[in-house]
Order: sequence, then structure tokens, then C-alpha cells
Amino acid sequence: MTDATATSTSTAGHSNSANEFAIETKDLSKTYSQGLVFKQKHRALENVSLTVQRGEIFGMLGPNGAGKTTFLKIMLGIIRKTSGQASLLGYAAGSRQGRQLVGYLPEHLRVPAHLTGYQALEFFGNLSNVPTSKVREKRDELLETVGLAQRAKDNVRQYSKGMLQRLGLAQALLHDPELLVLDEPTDGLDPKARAEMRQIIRKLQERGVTIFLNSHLLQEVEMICQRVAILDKGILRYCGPVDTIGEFLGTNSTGHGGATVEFLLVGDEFAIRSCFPEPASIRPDPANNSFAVSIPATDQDKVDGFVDALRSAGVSIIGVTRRRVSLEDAFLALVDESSFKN
Amino acid sequence: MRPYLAIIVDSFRAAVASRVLYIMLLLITVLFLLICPWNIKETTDWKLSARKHLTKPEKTVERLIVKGKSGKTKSTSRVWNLLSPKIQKSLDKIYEEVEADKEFESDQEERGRRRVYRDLVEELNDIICKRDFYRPDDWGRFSITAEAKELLKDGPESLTEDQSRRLNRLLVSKAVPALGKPDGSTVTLYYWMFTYDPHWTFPASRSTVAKVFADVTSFFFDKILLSAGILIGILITANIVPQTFDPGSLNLLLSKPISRSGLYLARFFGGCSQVAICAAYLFFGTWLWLGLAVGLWDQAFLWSIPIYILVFAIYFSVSAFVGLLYRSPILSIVATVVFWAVCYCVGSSYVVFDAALQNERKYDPLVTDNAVMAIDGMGNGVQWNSTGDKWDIVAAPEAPTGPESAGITINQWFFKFKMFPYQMRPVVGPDGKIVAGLAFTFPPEPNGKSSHEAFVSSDEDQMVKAGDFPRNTMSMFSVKDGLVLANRTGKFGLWDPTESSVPKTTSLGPEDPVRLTTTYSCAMNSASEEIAAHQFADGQHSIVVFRRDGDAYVKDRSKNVDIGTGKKMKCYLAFAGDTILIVPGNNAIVSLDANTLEQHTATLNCETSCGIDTIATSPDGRWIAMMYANRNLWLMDVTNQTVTKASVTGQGNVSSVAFDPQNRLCVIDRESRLSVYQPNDLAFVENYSPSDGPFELAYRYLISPIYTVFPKPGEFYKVTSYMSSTRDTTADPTVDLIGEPAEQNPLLPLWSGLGFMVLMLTLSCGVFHFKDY
Repeated sequence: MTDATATSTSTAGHSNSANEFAIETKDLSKTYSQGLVFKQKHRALENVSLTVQRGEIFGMLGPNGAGKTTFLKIMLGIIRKTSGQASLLGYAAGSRQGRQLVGYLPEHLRVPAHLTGYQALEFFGNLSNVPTSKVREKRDELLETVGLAQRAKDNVRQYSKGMLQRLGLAQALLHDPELLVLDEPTDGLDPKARAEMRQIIRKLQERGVTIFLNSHLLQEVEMICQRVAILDKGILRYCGPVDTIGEFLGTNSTGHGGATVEFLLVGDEFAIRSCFPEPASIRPDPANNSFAVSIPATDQDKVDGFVDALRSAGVSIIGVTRRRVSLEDAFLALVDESSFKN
Repeated sequence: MRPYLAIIVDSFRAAVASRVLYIMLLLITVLFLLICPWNIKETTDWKLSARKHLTKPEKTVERLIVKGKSGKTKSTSRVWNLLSPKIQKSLDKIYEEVEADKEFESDQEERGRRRVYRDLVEELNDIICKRDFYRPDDWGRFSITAEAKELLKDGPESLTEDQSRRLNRLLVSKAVPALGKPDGSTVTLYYWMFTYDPHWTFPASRSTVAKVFADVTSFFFDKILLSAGILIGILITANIVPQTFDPGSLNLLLSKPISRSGLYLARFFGGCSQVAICAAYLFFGTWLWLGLAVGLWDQAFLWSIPIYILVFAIYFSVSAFVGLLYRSPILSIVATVVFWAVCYCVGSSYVVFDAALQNERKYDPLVTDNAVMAIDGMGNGVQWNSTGDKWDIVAAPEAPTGPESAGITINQWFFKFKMFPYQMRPVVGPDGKIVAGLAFTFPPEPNGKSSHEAFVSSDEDQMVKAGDFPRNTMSMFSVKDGLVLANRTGKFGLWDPTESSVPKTTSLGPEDPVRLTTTYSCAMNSASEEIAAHQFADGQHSIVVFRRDGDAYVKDRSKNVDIGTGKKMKCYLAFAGDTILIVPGNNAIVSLDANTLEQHTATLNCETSCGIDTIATSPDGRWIAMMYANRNLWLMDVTNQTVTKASVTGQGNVSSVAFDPQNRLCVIDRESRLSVYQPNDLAFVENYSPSDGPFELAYRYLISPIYTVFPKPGEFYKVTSYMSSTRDTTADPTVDLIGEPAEQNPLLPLWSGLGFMVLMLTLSCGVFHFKDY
């Protein structure tokens, strides 16, 4: 992120700062209807309530058809909600004031093929009500930031998909938005470009811009997002910090996942088995003459109890590690299997 | 506005980047390259040609010898003296041979004479080129034409070479009349610098030919080029709206702080930009060509640019709407073509229905104690059948019955209207029962003459053919002792139908008649039986009143009247009470005191831009009804000298108007509905209205409303013609509007087109606004 991008004042106006949330929804629902007479209804969102704090990087996850895009479109006014409440930077979702403060990079961006990089920025800048003179002041630095400076005068029909994504990011930043909505921003980018994109996003966050990230790439989200929401079949399964998703799962009634402690032990198998209750997983390792034991243990007292029991039974403890639940684990655990079949 | 302007600018960029646009511009350029070499050259006619001007060579020779050689006529003598001795000798010889009636002895002899004629023409042309040919003494002051006088105004030495030749040519014509008068100016048509034949000229001015060029070009553009152009325009723009709805571009556009309607409208108008560029290039280029090549700098021609962009926009609004709904360019094109077909069908249906109903239209109502009559569009007398609530054709026993009774086709009927004073209306005879009707036979009878047939109602409620009216009968008035017939020459005759079943008339004079131009150019005061007639002579309009003195009409009084112009103009007259009303073709209304023929001071005005069609006077002389070509009815209260637009039903669609014997106003509207009103308060009394058949219902409640609101892209040439027209007929008192068709609101295609486009755009914006994407 360059200084120019970070320090320039917003031309788009100011958000309703009395509201602490960048995005806030309450019981947000959306039902699609198809057909003129015999209408078929499909519920895409069901009572979704979540908040996105100002200044954070927020990720939204979900399998195909989970309702992520629907959620995004409601917030940007592309479609209308069926019921519930939704606000964007303190304004009603979809309102023109709200959209004025948002920069959006769609998933499959299409830029009119007759434009050059410069002209595209002028066009999209004007659409965001940024004067052409202002666009011309900023465009070089923005294109430099996204790595397109050398191709600025080229026609966009000569751009690769990754270059189009970069151009899309540049246009989203033209009017200094308070909220940046990125739909699959790293799609089509090579690993180096992805890293650059992550860097840009982090720098934007440092400058106070709220980032709303919609992505299939769980590792990507895990790396940069502070909080995530997981949608499945229009139902919000989880919304909270990435770090505590394991705790959430530990208290989850499904009983799977949670914080797991792994022991590497040497000793009598019978003694070892007697120290751990179900559902401990004990896997002998004949090559090292040892046993690997995994057991869910959410609090330290329980772990201490296992250590005491093992020591009393004369079992040598080679190692003890607490394994954190990955986002992918959590995602797979939270999302119903049927979602994947679809 | 910035975002929307950005979209429009983007459309311009897309248009500029489009290859199709360049192809279109290239095609237009090719068209220009093809038409630009056409040009016209105007020359003042001075040159003699043997083929054209020496058609009577013997007479020319005779004139030169008899008047020129002998010196009897100075001007001819001047020409003779300038001829070479060789030609003079040859002409002498020819003259002798002609006088002696000598026949050619050989072909060689004949060829020799033709050669002499050619040489004569050449020498005459040489004479015409001489700057010192004119000598004032040779041509008297009165023997030269007005044009020659005008040329000589500043002396012959001040003339240009071309003007000098023109003068000499005029003088030669005067000296040798057999050579004929020269044309005013001639125009030669050139393609670059080539012409079919230099002698192939049009005897017209440059401006006249330029106007022809403009009309031909407009026709070519309207009927051929623009039809193709709009189709191509639709093809190349059909993708604009569906392309906008590509999710990758639409989602981003909708996330911007702009309104959806604004986005759609900006895309729509941006889409018109490609056509706008082509139309501007085409019409501006053509305007430039018309100006440079033929000298017609008609700025109104440039109205074609916005007008034809609008025509395209009408089609494009349909294309864009379908593109919005289905996001398919193919469907957009198909829907637009279907829309064009629907427009065509609606327009054609309206024309067919309207023409068919014209035959049903009733005119000249006549309400008597025992009958209600009128004449239909086919020229048949019709009578109201109160039992069946319909109009029945009144059959003449002598005439064949059935639809063929009139024996004419629609085209002939139309022609008949053009030829005959059809307005001569039926009247009630002196006994209050007899109705004298008129019909015209057409085509002409075997003897080659057409006749005005008289029909008289019999006791059996039938119209009996009474014979033929005297030729050139123009008007018919009912008097106490019969019917007064006025003919074109202004002679009056009396026919008493109770005495003679055949319309034989007794001449009533007058000795100094006034020629009548229309059936309404004379009017009778039913109380005094005086007849007033309009006359035009020596640039003066006047009214002549004839008083009946026993068995003769005598000229009683006359006076010049000011109708706003000294030009010849038709005038309609009404004679009611002490007022004579003159309604000339320039729409001035002049009211005169019938006794003194002094003009009343009250200013009367009907706010209409078309000529008067019918004028009727109530028997008591208090009311005068005026119906104009635009089918509007105005009523004059003679007592108060006021004119008001009558508040009767069907205003704007009135066919005819008359008064019944009870002084009630009878108005026919809606083709065949006759309504009767009290004229003082226009209270409705009764009506005779046949029930509508399916045909009329379809026309009235389906075809006509749809046609009115539906766009009429095929009629936009009327708008361009109207815009291009520099003639303001309503403001020009010298223009006679009588007989001219009323302009059916030339801007109607514009308003209906705009209305439809606005409707389509509103509909599209509504759909776009409420639809989820």
C-alpha cells in the first residue's frame, strides 16, 4: 500500500460514524421466487445476524450455494432483502450513501474491452462520482500499487485474468472507500501476486479500511482474517474470531473437533490404555516402540490429570502437544455434508 | 450527473472503437462520393439553335426580307444589315423560291437550303454576341420587353457579357418574332463535368431545380436509405443492453452510487450515439452537398438529424426493453422486427378503415317535418329510417337500385369531388314538403357530358328523378314561388317544381351578372330573397347585392371590401338578416351591414389554420354556422356579432352542418350521427344515430385509439416536411386555404413517437428498478 492511497482523504464522503459496525445484519433473510404463476421459492438466506467491526478483516466462507453472494448483493443493493435488517456503515444496506463508501471487486470482473487501463479507471472513478482530474492524479500510484503501471496504456482486452483482478482492485480503491468488499480477490493470481494482494489488504486495514473478504480459499482467509462467518444453506453456522473457532466447536453438541491433546508415550500398552477414557485414540508405533494418543481436552486440569495418571502407571511421556483446530477442520465440521454433495 | 455522463461517454468510446461504425461511415462516404459530382449549372438563355428556334424558317426569312431588307422595321433592318452579304444573297434566293412555290429539284438543293439556315443561325448568334448591337433608335421605347427595359436601366455599357447577350437575344426575338422568345433561365445537369447533352436543359431556375433535388433526396433517404439504416442500427446496437447485464459488469455497475433508472437511460441514450454519429454525418454531409452543388442552403434540412435519431430511438426502446427482460440480442432483434411489422399493420389498418368509413360519412343534412335526409360519401341521397334506426339509400325509381346505383368506384367518387361543386345542398321547396335533391352521374353519359340530376321527393316518400339541372348550376335557393338556381356565370333562373316536374327555369337575370367561383360565393337572404355575390376584378374584392324585382333580379348595390389581400381569392358568403358575412380563403372574417355594405367594427376571428368548408345560415337570419376543413364548427350570433366555437359533441370530427326550418342547428359527426341543437344555448334536442356495426366499433374503439397513441415511424417524413416548410400559411393573407386539406397535426407522429418511447423507457426503468440480479 502506498502512502498516497493510505493518506488521501476520502472523496466519497463520510460514513455514519455513530455506528460502530461496518456491516450489521439482524435476522436477514432472502427468498428467491421463480416463475410467473406457479412460483417456486428458494430460501437463500435465513435469519442471518452478524456484525463486522470497523477496521477489521472479515471473511465469509461457505460452500457453493451457501448464500455468500446473496449476502454480498444485499449489502451492495444489487438485490433486495426479503426480511430482517441490514446496514452498511450505518446506512441501510443498498442505499446510495452506503454504496458511496464501498469499494467492490466482483468475482468475475468484466471491463469494457475498448478501454485502456487508464480509461477504465476514469470510467469507474466517474461512476463512483470521482472527478476525472482526481482520477488522473491518483491513477498512476494506484496502478503502481497493484503492479499494473507498465500496462496502463494497454487495451484491457490484452490483459490476463490476474491483471484484470489487479485493475479491479485499483478501481475499487479510487474513491478511498471505508469498506472494501472483495469477492475472491486472489482468484486467478499466481502465488507471488497473492502474497502481494495479502500485503495490500493488510496495509489497507492498517489505515482503517474495513475489509470484507469472500473467498473459497480457506488458508487465505485463515491467514489474513481476524473474524469469519461460515454460511451453509443460508444459515449462519459460525461468526467469530478465527482463533476461537476451536473453542466454539468444543462446546458444540456435535462432539467432534475441539481442542485435542496428543501424547507420545513409551510404556506398557495396558497401562497406557487404562489412563485414558473413551474417546481417546491410541495408535501404536512399532518402529519407535511408542504409542501416539489423541484425546479431546478443553481445559488444562484434565491434561494435568492425564500426566499424573501416566506417571503413576510408569509410562514415560516423550512429548505432549495441544493441537489447534484448523479453519478447514472447523469448516468441514460445521458445514453439513450434504452441502458438498450439491 | 457525472456517473451518467461517464456511461454516455463510454458509449461514444465504444462507438468510436467499433469497426461497424467505421464501416457505416465508410458506406456513407462512398454514397457521398457517388452523389457529390452531381451539380447543376444555371445559364441565362441567349443562344439560338437551329433545331429549337428555326422551326419556321420560311417565316423568318420572310420577316428579314420584307421588314428588314426593305427597311420597314428598324429593328429587323438592323439585324439584316449585320448579316453577311453571302447570307443576304442566299436568303434573297430562298425567299424568291418560297414565293414562287418552287419545289426542290434535288436532295442537294434541299440540303443546300438547310445549310443556309444553319449559317443564318450562326450569324445571328454572332450578332447576339456583339456588344454594340443595341441602338436606341432602332428599338422604340415600347417595343422592348420589360426584362430588356430592366437590363437597359443603367445603360448597355454597364452590362456584363452574359447580360449583354441576353439583351441582344431579347432584341433579336423582337425583331424576328418567328425565332421565338428565349427561356428565362435554363439549368443543365452535370455529373462532375460531364452532361448527357449540353442542350438537354431544364427551363427552370436554379432554386427550383435545387428544391427538386432536395425533395428527391429526402424521398430517397426516407423510403430507402433510412429503412436500411435503422435496420442496420438495430442490428449493431442490439447487444448493448444485454451486454450491460453480464453479471461481471452489472454487479459492479449496480454497486456504484448511481440510480438504476439513470444507469439504464444513460446506456439507452449512449446506445443511440452510434446512430447519432452516422445520422449527423449523413444529413450534414447531404446538406453541405445540396448547398455547394445546387445552392440550396436549407437549414431546416438539418432537422432530419434529431428527427431520425428519434425514429431510431423508438425502435431501440423496444430492442432495449426486450434485451433487459431476456438478455438476448437475438430476441431483441426479433422483437424489434415484430414491432416494426405491428406499426406497419396498425398504420395500414387505420388507412383502410378510415377510407372505408369515408363512404359512410353523411353530408348536407336536411331535416323537414316529414323526413330527415342527407347525402353519403358515395353521393347517394339517404333518408333516416326511424324504425330500423339507420340511414336508407333513397332509391330513384328511374335509376338502377343497389350499390351500383351511383355507378362509380371510390376513385371515381374522389375524382367527382374534385370536379363538381358537390356542396350544392338539397333544399326544402316552397310548399314545405318537396325536397329537391341533387346527384351527379359519373362517369359522363354516352354523349360525353356529365349532368346534374335533380330528384324531387314524391308523396310515396321516394326520390323521383325530375331531370337534369341546367348546366353549370352552382347554387340553389328556396324562394316563395319556387327554387332559384344560380349558375357559374352568375345568371339566376326560377324553377317551380309544382308547375314543372322537369327543372326548367325562367331567367331572372340579372343583366350584369357576377361570375361565381364556388357554390358559396353567393348567398340568399331567405326573408328578402336578395342575393349577395362576391366579385373579384382589378385587384379588388367586392360584394354585389341583387334585389328581386318581380320576375327579375337587378343589381341593387355594391361595394369594395377589404379582406386583407388584393389577390384573387375564393370567398364564402352568408346572408342573414341585416348581415352579410364574408369568409375568404385567408381566414379573415368580414361582417358587413347588408343595407349599407359598410363593414362592422367588431373583430371576428376563428382560431384555425385551415380553410372554411361549409357555411350555413338559419332561416330566421340570426345564426351563421361555419365548418372548417379541420372539422371544427364555429357559430356566429348575428345579433351580437360574436363568433364562438360551438360546444357540440364531436367537435373536430364534424362532417357537415345545416339549420332546419325551426332554426335548429343540425350537426353531423362521427360519420353518420346527426344531432340537433338549439343554437342559442346549444341544448341537445335529439339525434339520429345508427347503431355501430362491428366495422365501426372496431375502428372507433380499437384501430383509431391504437393508431393515435401508437408510434408512426413511417410518417416521420411529414414532420421533416413540416419542419422544412418555410411557408407560414396562417400568417400569409395572400394564401387561399379553401379547398386545401387540413393539416392533420403534422407533429402527431413526433408526439406519439415520443410518448411511446417515454412509455417504453418508463416500463424498462420500472422493471430494472424492481428486478433482482
